[in-house]
Amino acid sequence: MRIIVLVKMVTEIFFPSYKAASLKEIFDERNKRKKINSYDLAALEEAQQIKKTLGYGSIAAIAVGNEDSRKALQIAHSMGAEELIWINMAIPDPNKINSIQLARVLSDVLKEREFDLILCGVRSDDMATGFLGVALAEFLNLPVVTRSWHIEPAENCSVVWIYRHIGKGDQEVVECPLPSVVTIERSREIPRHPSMVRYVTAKRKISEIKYSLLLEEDNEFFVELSVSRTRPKKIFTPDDSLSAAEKMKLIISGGLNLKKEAEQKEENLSGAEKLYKYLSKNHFLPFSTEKNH
Amino acid sequence: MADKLFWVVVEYEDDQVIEPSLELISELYRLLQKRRGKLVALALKNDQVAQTNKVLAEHGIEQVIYFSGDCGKSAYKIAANVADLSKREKPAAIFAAGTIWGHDLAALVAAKLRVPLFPNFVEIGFDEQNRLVVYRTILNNTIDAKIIAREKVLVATTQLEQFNIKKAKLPKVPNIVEITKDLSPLEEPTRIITKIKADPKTVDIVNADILIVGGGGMGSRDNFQLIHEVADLLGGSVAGTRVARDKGWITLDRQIGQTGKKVSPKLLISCGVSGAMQLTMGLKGTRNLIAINIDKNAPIFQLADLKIVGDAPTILTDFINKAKALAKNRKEIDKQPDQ
Ligand SMILES: Cc1cc2nc3c(=O)[nH]c(=O)nc-3n(C[C@H](O)[C@H](O)[C@H](O)COP(=O)(O)OP(=O)(O)OC[C@H]3O[C@@H](n4cnc5c(N)ncnc54)[C@H](O)[C@@H]3O)c2cc1C
Repeated sequence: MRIIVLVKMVTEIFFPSYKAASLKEIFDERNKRKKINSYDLAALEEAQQIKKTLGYGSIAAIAVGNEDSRKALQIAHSMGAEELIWINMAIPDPNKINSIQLARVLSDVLKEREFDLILCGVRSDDMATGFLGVALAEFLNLPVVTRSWHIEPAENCSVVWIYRHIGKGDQEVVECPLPSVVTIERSREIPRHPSMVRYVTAKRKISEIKYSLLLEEDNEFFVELSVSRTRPKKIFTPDDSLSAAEKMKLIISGGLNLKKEAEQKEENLSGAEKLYKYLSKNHFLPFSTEKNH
Repeated sequence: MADKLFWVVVEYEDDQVIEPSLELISELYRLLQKRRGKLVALALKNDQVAQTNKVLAEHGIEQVIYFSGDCGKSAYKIAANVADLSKREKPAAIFAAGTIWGHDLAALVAAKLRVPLFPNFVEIGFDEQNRLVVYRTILNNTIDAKIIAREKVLVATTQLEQFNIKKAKLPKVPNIVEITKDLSPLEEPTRIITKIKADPKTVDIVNADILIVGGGGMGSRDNFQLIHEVADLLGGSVAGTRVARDKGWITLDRQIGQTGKKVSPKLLISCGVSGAMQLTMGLKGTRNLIAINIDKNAPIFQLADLKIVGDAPTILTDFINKAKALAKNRKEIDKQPDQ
């Protein structure tokens, strides 16, 4: 199994926006630091787990950008990646670059390689767009599955089974043919500690691909940055068409409609019987002989 | 000038339009009140078309494009068709709610149209030149990115719980135009093998489908154990009021209300709960509410679909006994070979 893991360095800001007078203050060197994207760490770990399950395989890490991105490759190496590829290209303002441009660059490079699985973080900690994996799959015309937390390869490597979150704590298992792209939300194990020796020796292993294109702001989509301002969140507001009294009642009940006095036809039933009957009638009883909800 | 065309891809749960989709539609309707623009919904056709049309029209949708065919809820198939259709119809923007499904769908649409995705927008408006502007926050919520699509279509999703749901001010006579397109023929490369439901014992109460809620009226820790037993029987989760938390019967993460969590279960059974406003503020999404309280004037009864006046521990004990007996019967019936 030839696995490719996309890694990147992200910017972490420590300065709260409500205290900032200007962008300059937020972007001041003292208020930010670079670190590897946390979801990419999970992707690196999951790649190792797949290799362990199969007993064989190779892991190549790829990063796009300036000198900084070499750090991500060093970390990838310290976590077990064997091959390190640095797509060296200038990005004047990474905050204004959109994932479709990055996906295009990556697909150019990846088209030339052989691989079975591309893993990347479900999103980046700083831009949180969650789009690169899907866009890359589209450019390479490959299937994509998002939000994996566990990838189980078939013995013959023809497919993988991906456990993914679908919200509300529920999950699904998806069978996906290879080659494909999978975005990683979590790894089945906590990402391992990097090995210091491998971190240091990584520098020698990095192979560089010079990309002459200057990745600039997309002209089609204008992006302007400013200090974030506080915005009100959703609050419950009753319908305009209601009377003032009805609005008040709704606000007091927290938005639940007051129920009309139901006719009590079954006075002779005990409390437990009423409860049972209601649950059964509305298909909430898992052991009732009626159809379940 | 032709009206700007805004598309919203609608999401359902149990055949009902979900709240995040209505948050999005309400916000776009508000935006378009003073501008020329047309709000169109794209939705999967299900058995509740009449109900869906009504809900969508009430919130300001003017036209619905339905997709039909046996495709489950496949984001892949819907996205491919939305992208295809948009090449012909040329909407100014395509939106989805920022749920997991909505994000997947919007990402696939954007990728197919080779445009960037702008997820989780927190504000939307027009600038002086009448161009559509969305704002999203980046870099740990410290920076606002203002985005303007100059020529190409803008594909974006909303930040959840950001926009108020409001019905349209002048509810138009629902002018629903259905254009139905069959999704069945498209081959999806991946296949869902199985779905795994969250364990009710560990799921966040915000996501629970069935909640058994105990309050001060349960009287003691031993009695509160009955709440757990009923939850086990019904496959539900345990929650409680502030009083239950103060007494140490539940932990803070299981408290509902103003200082707790907002829940939206399909079924909620409240036992010995008074129904104080600070609690009911957290119950808005509840679909079936059963209240058991000894005081027939308890405020919770005003909200209940089923009102049971009586001693909660006794009623629950009786119910558990009856239910266990029936469950045992059922097992024996199941064991018998089919005739
Ligand atoms: C700022 C603020 C924030 C708050 N936030 C929250 C919050 O987030 N969540 C919350 O729950 N509360 C909150 N509260 C507290 C809230 O006002 C109520 O005090 C609380 O909800 C009451 O909980 P209860 O109904 O369990 O208990 P009680 O008020 O003690 O009511 C017990 C109920 O049980 C009934 N009862 C008694 N014995 C029996 C019996 N044997 N069988 C059946 N019924 C019986 C009684 O008739 C009564 O209705 C907040 C209060 C404040 C001031």
